[in-house]
Amino acid sequence: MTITVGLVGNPNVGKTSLFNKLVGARQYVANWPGVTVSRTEGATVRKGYTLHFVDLPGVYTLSATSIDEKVTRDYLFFSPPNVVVVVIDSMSPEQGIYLLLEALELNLNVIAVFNAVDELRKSGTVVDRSVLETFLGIPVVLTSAHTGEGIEELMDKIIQVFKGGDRPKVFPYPEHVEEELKRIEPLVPKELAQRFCALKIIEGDKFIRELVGNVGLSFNKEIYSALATDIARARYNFATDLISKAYRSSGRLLTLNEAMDHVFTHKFIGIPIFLSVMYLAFNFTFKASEPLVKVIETLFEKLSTLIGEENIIVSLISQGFIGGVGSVLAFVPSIFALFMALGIMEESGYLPRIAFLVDRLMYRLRLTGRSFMTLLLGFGCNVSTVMAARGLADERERLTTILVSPFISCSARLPVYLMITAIAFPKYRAEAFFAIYAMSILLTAFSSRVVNRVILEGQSVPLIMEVPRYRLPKISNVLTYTWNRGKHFLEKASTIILTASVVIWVLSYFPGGGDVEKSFVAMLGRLLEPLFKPLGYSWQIVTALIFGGVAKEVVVSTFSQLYGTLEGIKMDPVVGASLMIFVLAYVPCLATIAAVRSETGSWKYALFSVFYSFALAYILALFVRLFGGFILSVC
Amino acid sequence: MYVEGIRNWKVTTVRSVAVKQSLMMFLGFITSIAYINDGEFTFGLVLVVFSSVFLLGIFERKTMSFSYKIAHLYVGSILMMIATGYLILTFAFSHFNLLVGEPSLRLSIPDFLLILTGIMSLFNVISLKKAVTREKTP
Repeated sequence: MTITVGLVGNPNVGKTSLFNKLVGARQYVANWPGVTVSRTEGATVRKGYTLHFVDLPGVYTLSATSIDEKVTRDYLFFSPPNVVVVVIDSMSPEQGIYLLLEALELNLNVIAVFNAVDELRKSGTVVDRSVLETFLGIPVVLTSAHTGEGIEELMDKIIQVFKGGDRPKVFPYPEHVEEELKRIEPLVPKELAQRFCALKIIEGDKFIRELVGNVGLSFNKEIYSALATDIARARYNFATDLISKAYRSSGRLLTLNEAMDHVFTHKFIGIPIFLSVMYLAFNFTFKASEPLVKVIETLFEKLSTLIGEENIIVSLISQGFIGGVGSVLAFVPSIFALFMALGIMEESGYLPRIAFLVDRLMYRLRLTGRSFMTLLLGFGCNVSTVMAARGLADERERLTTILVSPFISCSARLPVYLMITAIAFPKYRAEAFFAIYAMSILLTAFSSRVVNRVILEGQSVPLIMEVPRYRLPKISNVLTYTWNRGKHFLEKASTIILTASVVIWVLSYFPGGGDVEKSFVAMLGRLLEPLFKPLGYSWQIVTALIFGGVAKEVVVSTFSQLYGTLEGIKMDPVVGASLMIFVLAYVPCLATIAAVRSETGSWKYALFSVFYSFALAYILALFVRLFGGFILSVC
Repeated sequence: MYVEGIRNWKVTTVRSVAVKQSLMMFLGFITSIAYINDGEFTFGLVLVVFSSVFLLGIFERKTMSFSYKIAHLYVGSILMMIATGYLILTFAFSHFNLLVGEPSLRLSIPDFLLILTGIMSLFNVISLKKAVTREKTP
């Protein structure tokens, strides 16, 4: 016999970890809310029963607004499982109990699971299960997805509840709410959970109101709004009361998280710590990956030399394929090293704290820490930021985030910086890297101010965000994070970069028959060279920048093909610095422009993004060139 | 008698935390200076920031200041461990240089100082993990 079990809970309470323990799966988990966005299914056999588990996206309430919330709501409502397991984070159970109270109204078999009890015990707090069971009126299981504690008991409890468990008691609301519920309930069709629907109607749930249809209800907005507040208050009061009765602390005043947050989000030292940790991450990127980069470079060079350049086909393979793509692929270890460092920061729970650290600054720029979190995605790929901005409720904030996202230094720019720093200032690579990332954040902030002043008007809403607990990063999760981010780069190398490399080879081979100086790219570069003369860029750099408009990595590929090898290139440090800034700011890649166009629904914003970024890049690069030259002449 | 015992325990612990904090701060700043003197200005500055976490702990004066002092010592030690971990990993990866005929990294005197600080930090983190959240009450 099969028992279907729905796993429901707030985001980041360990549902997926629990699911993995229950069915022995390896679903991706992260220390970050919103990892599960679609339902995942798995089964296990226990005492002759097949337990079919469905891991649902995390929700705070069953009034769904986003796509993932709808997945959970629809599953519970339209294909209810035999047993619903509501997973609650025992370290911060209020929100979980709130959701549990909602789930109880669905009139299904419900089990409450208080997860992460091992961490609770470590923090010196014990929870009395019998108190929880008495007040909730349903079975309660204490589990730890980390240690496996309570997993078998949970499976036994599921079978027990399925075989003959009592349906949950009705949670009593204030008298005036109950009166209104009694009035609405008979009007709701019997095949629906009447009390649940009645509550949602009062709470203003559009979906339920449409589902129930016109049943002769007259909705008084003001009265229902007051009743909805009373319902929420009653649930929270119950949760607080329950916690005070069931939780006992053994005299500890600070939790580990509070202690760590006190320092990491300290008003004086918080930001310097963040900057220092970032610097270490960048330095680690170079120093740890440098030997591997050298090994790969040497391999590609040897391969290229081995093939030679005797005829047009051999030259295409040697220069176009191996030289073009290989020069970019050589930086793969650096990219993976950086993502590994960022993965450790994210997995440990430190990165989300930065949103709070910068919230005050962001608010002045009419953004919030929430936008910052969205923008952080841009370190992987700017397209991700543009798409993720959908999650921002405020339209003005969403547009601003989309328009400033190209200034976040994405991974595509990494190989270009790595190349420039290696050529122009090999001794100060980490410092240059740190400076360019700091510049990236400054430019984003500045542009946000500009966008808000020139294009959009308004104020941001304050940041309310649940931060995950600190935890020791799991190696498997860090590796999955690194691979998921890094593979994007490998995919691009085998598609866009490869195609671009071949195009560049063709344009640099003809019509001179292999003489780059007489090729089409040289003509194009020389044509535009005067425009970039004030910046000190040669025609080769200009050409590389033009092709880099397709995808930024192509700049490296172009350099490699135009110069033959990256090792022999000489570049003035001031030109190098100016070029780094130009690459950081100048036009977004084609994919980002397309994403901006589709997400804003207007060419106006996409064109603004192109022209504004080009103008800003030119002015900044010119400033660096002039100012840097002046400093060098004085020194 | 019992109360007296608790009082003595608390005085000893407060003292030992203060001693550890001062020692870590001293070691941290010495290591930073050594790096700056060695020409690694930015890394030295990073260690100054990490060391100042210990320094700020000394100035904690508000309610539960004892817990917060321990929090500073704990987090400061974690940061020092991160810096040491970074050094050790960089040193380990530098051995790949041998594959392309280049020498591996050689540890300098500031490096050894940092490793010493890292070892002390490791002991601090292990011993403080329980105490960081505990304000012993009779």
